Amino acid sequence: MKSICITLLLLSLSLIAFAQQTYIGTVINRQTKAPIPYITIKLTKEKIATAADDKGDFELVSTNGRTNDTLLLSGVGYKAVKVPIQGFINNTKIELIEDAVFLNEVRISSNKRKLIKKELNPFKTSQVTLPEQPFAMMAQAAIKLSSPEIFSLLKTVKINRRIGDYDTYTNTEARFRIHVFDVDSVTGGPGEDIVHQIIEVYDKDKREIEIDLTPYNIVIPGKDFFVGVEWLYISANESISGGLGHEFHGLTYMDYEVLYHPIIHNIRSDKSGQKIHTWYKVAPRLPWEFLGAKGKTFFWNIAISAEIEY
Amino acid sequence: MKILQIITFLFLPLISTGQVTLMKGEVKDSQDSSKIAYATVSLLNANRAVSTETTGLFQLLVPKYSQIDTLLVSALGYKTILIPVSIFEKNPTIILEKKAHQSTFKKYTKSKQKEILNKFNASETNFYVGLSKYRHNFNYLQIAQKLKLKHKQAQLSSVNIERLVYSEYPNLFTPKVRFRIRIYDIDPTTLGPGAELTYKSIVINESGDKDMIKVNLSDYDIQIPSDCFFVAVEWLRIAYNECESHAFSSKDYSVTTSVRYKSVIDYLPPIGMSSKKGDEINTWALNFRNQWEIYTYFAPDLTDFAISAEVQ
Repeated sequence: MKSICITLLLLSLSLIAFAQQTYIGTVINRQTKAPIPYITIKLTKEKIATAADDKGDFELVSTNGRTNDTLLLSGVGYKAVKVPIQGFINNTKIELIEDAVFLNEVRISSNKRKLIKKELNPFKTSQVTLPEQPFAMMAQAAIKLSSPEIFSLLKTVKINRRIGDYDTYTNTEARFRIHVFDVDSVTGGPGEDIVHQIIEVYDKDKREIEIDLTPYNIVIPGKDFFVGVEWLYISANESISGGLGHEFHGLTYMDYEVLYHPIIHNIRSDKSGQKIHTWYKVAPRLPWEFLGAKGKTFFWNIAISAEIEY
Repeated sequence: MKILQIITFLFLPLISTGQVTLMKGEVKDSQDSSKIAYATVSLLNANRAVSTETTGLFQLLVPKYSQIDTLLVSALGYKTILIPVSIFEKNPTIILEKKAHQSTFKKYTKSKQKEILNKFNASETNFYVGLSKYRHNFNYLQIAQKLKLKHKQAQLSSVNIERLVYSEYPNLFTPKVRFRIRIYDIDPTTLGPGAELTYKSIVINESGDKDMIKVNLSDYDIQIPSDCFFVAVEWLRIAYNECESHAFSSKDYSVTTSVRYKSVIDYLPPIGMSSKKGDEINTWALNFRNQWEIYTYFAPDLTDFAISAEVQ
């Protein structure tokens, strides 16, 4: 009897161990059968997510042993797909259908309401300067904005970027994501995402991109919040900048630089002692860093402004 | 003294400075010992490749040198061979054997009907291949565009290729490039590039600042036997074509690191992508292992290279 008990105990233990489930697969395009990189794969109930690599392969480890969860696959330019985990077979290819619909840019309407509109972090074109390190490349960047009132409505976001009108750039198209965060009480930096939807933006060739966020109905819980940009390091965003070539032992030597749009400008204040409100993340898994932290010698903010209504 | 000679002899093909090893050698013809120019030498595990200069000599910088690696040597019109590095160390002269003569294709009666395949808009070419990108080092020897004819059998008369060139400072320097055009038949099993349709070396020397390179091929008498063929660009991985790409590294950097560039030596010219989007991917690339693979880097946004061909 005792031995049976132990066996049962051991069996149940092994069952607990088996509750860890790994989902492995590849995301491909239904039409072309080509792998799709960087698609987000999320277990909706367990609230864990991963991204496919550049070959479309993904691996997601579930630890809570739920059997009624759903895998949600979503990404730029594709229709999201839900796969119940009961029906999921490892090492299979999941096909996504292209969805060419991107978020449209805003058309400013001048219908005046009794509510007050205010632009936060407004900047003039004369203030923008070229992006510097570390802003040439990172995972995300966000600016802290302060509304005079709580529960204000976020209407539009403006981004000023470099498109190559005074430089040699090949591509000008940009696909990126907008995030709105609350303030993390511990770090004072960006905290949780306020919007539980992916806000994707596509722009062809504008220097100033204005994004209408009214369809998302974003209400800021406190006075302070962050508006951020998430870069997508995909081939569609890359732009080649040609540096100067030089002669070396009778041979021409060319330098090229590959950058990813949107290449967002900096704003330098006219007054000295401008306060820094910009935070950034160099990689998705790394923590947010404050641009104005001690030891950093940056005197500018990222060129993102927002219009609110309260 | 003799020992010293032996030691010197032993280390002749290898000069090691720190962790990077420089491999030096030459590629020759088996019959008349003539030097073979623009042969490709690739070190498989180290994933490095270089072309021989016009002198038949090559040198290859290898960061992760290993004696159990293998060299793959291929040249236009010659049989491809594999050489273990241990054997190459003893004898840095690589001998290639000519391929059996190509069966001459039947000449098709010339009609005046002309057809341009994969016509692209040069002013809308915004993306380029040939340079190293974020998470994507360009480790390919050739790229090939699949072209489909309306009818079977034709003669290839010319090819147009769009490349990236900056003409901002034409007086300061002129970007010179040299590359080779290869024409392939379709492989019935892979549906990728197959047999070579010409063994003649079509080397293009471009010293101007034109971005569109037009190549007249009527003198080469290239016959296309089926209704599908490939026009390929072969980068000559010689010092003449070297350029430097500053891309970003994919590594997750530590918080304190501010510079995240990687510098990679690539070879000119960068070739454009056609802005037109098709139903299927017609872009193929030849990796360092001499295997053709579908080039999906720009998929699904872009499906064709900016390479067009005119046939008769």
